[in-house]
Parts: sequence; structure tokens; C-alpha cells
Amino acid sequence: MQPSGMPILYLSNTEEIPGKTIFQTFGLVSGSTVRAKHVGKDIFASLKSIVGGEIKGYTELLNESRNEALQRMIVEAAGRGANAVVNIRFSTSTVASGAAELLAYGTAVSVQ
Amino acid sequence: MGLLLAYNRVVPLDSELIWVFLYIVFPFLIPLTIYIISIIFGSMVYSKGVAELRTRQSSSQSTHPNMLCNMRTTKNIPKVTSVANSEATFSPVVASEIQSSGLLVLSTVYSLSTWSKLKVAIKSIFGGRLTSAQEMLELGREETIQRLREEAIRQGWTQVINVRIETLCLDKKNDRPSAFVEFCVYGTGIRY
Repeated sequence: MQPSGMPILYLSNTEEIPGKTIFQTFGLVSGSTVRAKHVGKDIFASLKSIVGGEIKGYTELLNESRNEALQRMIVEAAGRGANAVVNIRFSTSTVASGAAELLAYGTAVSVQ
Repeated sequence: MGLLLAYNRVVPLDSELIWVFLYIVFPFLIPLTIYIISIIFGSMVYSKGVAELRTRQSSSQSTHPNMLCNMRTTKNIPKVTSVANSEATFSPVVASEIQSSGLLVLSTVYSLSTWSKLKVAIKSIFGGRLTSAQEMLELGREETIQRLREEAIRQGWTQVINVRIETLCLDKKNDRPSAFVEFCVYGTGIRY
């Protein structure tokens, strides 16, 4: 998951890294991706939505893009010299019908 | 049919039936088939999903009870490793005991069936409870939470704290019922 040659980043959506102490903050970091639907997957998805239930193609797509957003946030945090990101939040918004923006944000800190 | 009669042609009965079929029955046939498929297979997909989810829930609940919680800090959370953690022997998780932690994110996309979307559209005129939509959303959310639990077990976390659940309509157009609903569940796994 993490790019090579980078310090190991602790990630957490709590206000601190459990079992560690924060000694420096580097401010807010965020990463986002905008993903549009795939045509082939879209046809299958619209057929699957007749009967309802899980749309596996979209599940994969969103998980993939959320990881990418997280990755961008990690790169930004590592660039500032932080070794952890705390209080991570995720948010998704539909910018147009068929395209979604996935955003991950948190506070870059240094922990011991 | 009117056109044919205007030409003073003799229209046999079977040929007239073809026109009736083409202009009156056929336009309704495709949506009708879709709704019938939606009613029959929709409930099948739902009940299959529920049955599968319940067995997975009970199996992971028996091996790893009370794994998820949405408290922000660990001071009020009882340890899950001691099996009989009653009120008398309450032992909270101590921060110094935690060896490692990590983020867990999972999301799934669920869709309402065409039939329940129609029911939503009709019900939204009169108001009231939308049982079929509610059931599907509940299934989707519980499934996502169960996947997070399984992922946490697979990665070897003892407990997951600060679990947050988000729901989002992915493909909402104006006032029409949304086709796709995304559930995003995330939390911090801890090991001690």
C-alpha cells in the first residue's frame, strides 16, 4: 500500500494514535479523487439494479478510488515530515450524475 | 387499424391482432417484464443476502464477540480478550498496552430494486413507512459492518474503535429515488 522509501505512517481516525503521544502537528492534509463510472460496468450495474442488492463493480471501483485518495493524503503528510495522520475523515460527494469525488482528510502529526 | 380500414381493405382477424399487439400490448410488455423480474428475483436476492449475512454474523460473533465500538478513546472500553468481562470485573484497555494500530476503511454500493423504487415513488406522494427500501438499506449497512469485522479479524486486530458509518446517494437525479447507495464504514483497529 505505502510507497517505498517513506517513513511508516500511523493512520487513525481517533484523535490520537492509540498507545503513542503526539509531539508536533503539521496541519490539515487531504487527498481526493474524482472517478467516473465505467461504461461496461455501467451496463451490468443497471441490469443488476433491476433486482437490487450489491453492485460489486461499483464497490470495487469506490474502494480502489478511496485507497487512492488516502494514498495522496499520505504522500502530502510525508512531504511535510509527519509520521502519522490522526482524526482521518472520509467524505464522498456526487459532482455530476455518474461521477463521484472521494475525499480523505486528517491532521498530520509526529508521534513517539 | 384505422389506416387499414380507410383503404377499404378486408382485414383478417389474425392480422388485426398483430397490430393490437404491436401498438397496445408491446409498449407495455418491456416495463411489465422488468417489474415482474424485479418482484420475483428482487425478493430472492434479498432473502439470500440476509440468510448469508446472518450465518457469517453468528460465526464471527462467536469467535470475536463485541469487536467493534464507536468510542473515541479506549478508557471506557472493556477488553475483549477476557471472555467473561462482566461489570464486576471491568478492566478497560490501557493505552500503554496497545502494541499497534491501523486504519480500516470499507465501502459497498447497494441498489434498490426497480420495484421498490416504484413503491418509493408512489409512497412519497402519501407519506408513510417505506418497508422495502428500509430493509434493503439495513441489509447493505449490516453487510458492510460485517465485512469490516471480517477484515479486522483477517488483519489480526483485537478490537476496532471509533467506528463511523456513512451513507451516500451516488446517482441521485433531481427528485427521483437514488439508484445507488454507498455505505462507507471506517475505524481504527488496535492490537493488545
